[in-house]
Amino acid sequence: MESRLTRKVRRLFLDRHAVSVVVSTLIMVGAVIALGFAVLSWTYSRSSTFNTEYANLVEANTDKMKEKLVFEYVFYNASQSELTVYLINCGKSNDVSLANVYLSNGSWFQSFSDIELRFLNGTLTESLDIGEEGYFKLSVSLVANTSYSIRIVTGRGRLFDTTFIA
Amino acid sequence: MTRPLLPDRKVWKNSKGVSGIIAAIFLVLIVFFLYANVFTFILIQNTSFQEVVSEVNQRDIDRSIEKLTVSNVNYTVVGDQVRVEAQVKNDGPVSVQIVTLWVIDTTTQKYGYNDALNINMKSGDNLVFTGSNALAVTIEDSNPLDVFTSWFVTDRGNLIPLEKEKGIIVAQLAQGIGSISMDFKQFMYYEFTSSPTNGTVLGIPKKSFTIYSGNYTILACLLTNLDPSGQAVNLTTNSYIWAVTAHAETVKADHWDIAKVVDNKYISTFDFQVLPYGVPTWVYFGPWKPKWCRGVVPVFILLSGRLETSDYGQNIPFIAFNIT
Repeated sequence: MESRLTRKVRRLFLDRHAVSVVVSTLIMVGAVIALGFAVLSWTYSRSSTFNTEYANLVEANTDKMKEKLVFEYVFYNASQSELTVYLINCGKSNDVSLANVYLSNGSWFQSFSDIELRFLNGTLTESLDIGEEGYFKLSVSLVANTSYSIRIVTGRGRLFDTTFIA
Repeated sequence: MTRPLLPDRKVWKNSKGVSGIIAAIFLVLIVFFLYANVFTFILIQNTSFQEVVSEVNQRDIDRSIEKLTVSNVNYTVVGDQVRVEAQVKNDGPVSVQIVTLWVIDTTTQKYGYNDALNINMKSGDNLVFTGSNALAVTIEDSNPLDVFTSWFVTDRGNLIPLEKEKGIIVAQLAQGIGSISMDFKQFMYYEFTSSPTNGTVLGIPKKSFTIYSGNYTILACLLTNLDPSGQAVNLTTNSYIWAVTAHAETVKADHWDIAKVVDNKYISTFDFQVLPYGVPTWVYFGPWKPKWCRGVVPVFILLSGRLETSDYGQNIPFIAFNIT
């Protein structure tokens, strides 16, 4: 003999009136909520990445813009074929490094990439902070009493130029 | 009959379109989030960028209006220390921080710096560096007779030259007696027992007006081109120093031809010597061993060359030798 409860349960499952509407509504709502959170999460992730990249870009540009190197003195030692360039970081950016140095005159050009930057006391350094002074030396043969241009490219890509007579 | 403020209960009971409403809410949330998070962030970043642009511009303006006036410049040498005396006035509207003093010995082509100054000068401040307050820079082998140039470096990156003033009297003098002046006190000579050859090191100079006739001498004069046109003078081989015996029936003269000296070494071939405007330049004459002159004799510098495209000639009666 089937009990009364069992019959009721069986009837509930067998009665299909309006079940599909409820289920479909639930599925639809659940799917929309899940998809909504997924899209929201994805948007948050993408916007955070974009914000970070944009902030880094702006910071890099502002740091680059605040960089300023001034040539204090350029000295060429003819007997040792050695050019010494003295600099001061008078900008508002720390960690100003030297990526490349280009030396040229009207008919000649030479680039230098391994620049040994030093403080005035001779200590080797990677970069100059605000207000710090330093120098680097280049081994190069120059023609006396000839005008040369020297161009410095910093690690952030800023250019600084000067001319001197060897 | 009154209308209910809220929609019929059937509307609330009807579940059709719920998902659409939720989707719309999410869409609004996403748009709002994007606006709040990204757009506002970009605005903030752009604002900070503009602030940096303004800051950099202001710094450039401050740098351009920095104005230091340096006067009464004098150099003295004590051992290896060059002491710079000067009067410095901040004539600009902004305060100035002097960080470094550079001194170049143009005679020996050596240089030095003092990077421990950190002198702060407010607008209108006037500082005098004399005596024990003189600014010291170490340069090896400096000589009191050497010619120096120097400049200050400020923390904004300005280089302020320390220049000795050239008054109008000097310019008028140049127009009156010739464009080239000689620094009387700087005259010196080098002595050799045998005639110097190409590459001979000059050694230590003698600062005297007595010359021994048994030795070869190279004379050194510090000449400055003060031509009012500001053009360079190019001296040729026809320039020389000559001395003549005063008490003699016939003219007895000795002469020292213009010579080339590079890095304190005598160069036996002379091509030309340029005297740039306003730059004291050492000019050398000799070597020569006096043959005819004895006793106290007048000495003249005869300079011949070109002033840019024009011929130039000048005679400077400058000292008297005692040739022993």
